[in-house]
Amino acid sequence: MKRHVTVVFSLALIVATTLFVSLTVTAKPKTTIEFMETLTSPARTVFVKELITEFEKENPDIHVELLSVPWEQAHDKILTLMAAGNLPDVLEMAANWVAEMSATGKVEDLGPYLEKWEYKDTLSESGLALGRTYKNTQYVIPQSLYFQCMYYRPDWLKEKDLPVPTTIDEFYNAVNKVTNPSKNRYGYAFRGGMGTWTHVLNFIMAAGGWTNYFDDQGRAVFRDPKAVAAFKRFMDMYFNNAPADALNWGYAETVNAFTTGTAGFIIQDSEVIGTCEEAMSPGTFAVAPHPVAADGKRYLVSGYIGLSMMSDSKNKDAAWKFISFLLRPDINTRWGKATTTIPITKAAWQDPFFSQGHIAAYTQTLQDPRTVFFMHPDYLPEWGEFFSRITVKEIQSYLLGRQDAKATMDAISDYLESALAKYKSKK
Amino acid sequence: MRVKVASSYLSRRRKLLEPYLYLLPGICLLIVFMIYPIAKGVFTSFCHYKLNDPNTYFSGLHNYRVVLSEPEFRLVLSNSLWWVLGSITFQFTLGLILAVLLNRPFWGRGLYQAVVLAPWAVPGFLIGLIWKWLFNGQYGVINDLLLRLRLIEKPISFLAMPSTALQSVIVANIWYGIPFFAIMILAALQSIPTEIYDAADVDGAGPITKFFRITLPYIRPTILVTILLRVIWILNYADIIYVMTKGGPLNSSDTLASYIIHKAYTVLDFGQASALGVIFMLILLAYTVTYLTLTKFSRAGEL
Repeated sequence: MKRHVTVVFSLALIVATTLFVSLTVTAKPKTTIEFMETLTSPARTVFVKELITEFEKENPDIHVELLSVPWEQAHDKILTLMAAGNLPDVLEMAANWVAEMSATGKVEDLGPYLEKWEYKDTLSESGLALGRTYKNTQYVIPQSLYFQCMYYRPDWLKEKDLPVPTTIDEFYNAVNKVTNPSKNRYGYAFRGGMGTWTHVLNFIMAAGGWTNYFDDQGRAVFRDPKAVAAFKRFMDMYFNNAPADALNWGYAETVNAFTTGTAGFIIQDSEVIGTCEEAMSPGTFAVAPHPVAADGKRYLVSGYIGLSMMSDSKNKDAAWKFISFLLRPDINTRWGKATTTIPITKAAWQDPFFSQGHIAAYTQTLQDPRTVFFMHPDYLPEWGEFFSRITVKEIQSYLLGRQDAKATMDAISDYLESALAKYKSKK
Repeated sequence: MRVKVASSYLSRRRKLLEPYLYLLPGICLLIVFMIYPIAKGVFTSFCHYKLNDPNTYFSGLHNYRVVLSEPEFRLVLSNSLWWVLGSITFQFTLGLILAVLLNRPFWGRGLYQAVVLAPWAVPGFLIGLIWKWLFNGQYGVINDLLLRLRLIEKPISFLAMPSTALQSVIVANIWYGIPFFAIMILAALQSIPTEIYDAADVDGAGPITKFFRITLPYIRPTILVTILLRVIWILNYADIIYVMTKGGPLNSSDTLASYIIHKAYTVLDFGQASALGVIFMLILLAYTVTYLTLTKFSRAGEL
């Protein structure tokens, strides 16, 4: 027994000394930073790992630890980690999280870092501005932009001899014409469940030419009769051009309805291109810019996924090195290609990848002077609840015939106005 | 002499302490895994605790007032009641019939038993997904069957209509829970000595008399315990609901358990979720006490 102890002890001693020696010999110890990826997919994670390897080659003294959290859980996971004080150094931040996460004071202002960066002029200014909507501080640098285009079935349109809709009126007309429930064909992949608000919103804003949820007095624009009428017209698609199941449809179900040939139109972000290419045969889908309103403009809500640094980070310089690496024109362009999203680097837009094929509809939208972008008021601390609960509840109540369009828009406006008043009184 | 007295005193004390020392590890585990979380939950229910609001402070009964005054609460409460009653009634009745049938020997019983009891081994999430497809409003098997039988003219969106959503999840839950009752009751049935049935035959008792006079009294303790357990489990169980409808549309298929998940992880209000949790706990406690008193559980083991 005693001999065993001696052996173990001396072994431990040997290991400890070699470790100590090797640590002191190999120059500097490595700095480790944690990077949390939140918009995950197997292919995307492989790509991100590739970039990390390249980054580590360029910066041998930094090691990047990748944490992949599925999108559905990311928001809650980050808030839980925040409460536990155990955040990663860098994370992928979505537009609608910025306000609530920055309000906790755990997110670093990236403005000063950006100011000193050699490539700062390669980023689109309007893109950067999107990352400054909360307290006019650069809490996040958008990395890729998200806005919607219209996906359609050219074969269905051809059967009915219809042109590709370019205006909202043409769009509703085409949706009506291709609907044929007896053949299990519906006009529009209607989203009545989680996320329903983003789709009707573009149509409402277009009706009044608004670019802000609120007027100068802090009144929500949704009370306007024009907004109510636009809401009603859009919702009519549920009654006329969608199966009853659509009441509970979210992102996956609507995309599925389009790719399986249940729905003829869907209005969605650019990453849907990949899903369509995988699931549909060529010639059965095409992408065009969002239809325009009566005033000739298209109103699109714009979101983004960006990079943020956490202010608790112990290695801020290394963290910035990693963020700036990902934003460099060459890397950012590759990022856009790999994820079929529109990168914030201006040079990328001229790249044949973004000016040809399905994604060209997005680049066109971006360069078209008739496109007007606007943002959600996601700086409101109540935004998350508004988007994931209030809008779903109110819109479903309308779809089930429990309240009329005006009452629905009034309830949504009431909630928004009181959230805005609360936000202003705190500021 | 003196030394001896002291040592006997010591050994007496040690004897008194001894059982508690043995219990200590168990008590520690209980404190860490049960008492602390419950205490923390109760405490949180009196706090303003929203994940997306950095300010956490004591707010008294505010959470309870908000939660109880919301119109959703009454709906969720009555949903829970139907969810439990509907599930348990059919699970028990069908489970009992299944057990009685499986108790007689017949050719291929082993295989049949394995197949019939399979649902119990399937994870709740998978069951939710399977039934979600069965109830699908366009391609679902159930709609297809009803259409072919000409019972309906147009497919029904079972999961999207407030009037059918809750019933649909209950049906899925019944399917899932039958095997549990079947297994438990079958085990109890097999422990009944056959001589008693032989004696009953000699006395000229019919099958119905035998069932009510012998079988049922023998399996009564098992039935009481399983029903007690199942009611609590079913109330706590939210997997199927979460997968099939997420409690929607408009909370029409939300039960207390799924509503708490919703409050905590969609609305991110842990204070209100905890308040609901405490209310939930009190309801379960009241139920258990009432049930045990009504069934005179302490005497359930006697025949």
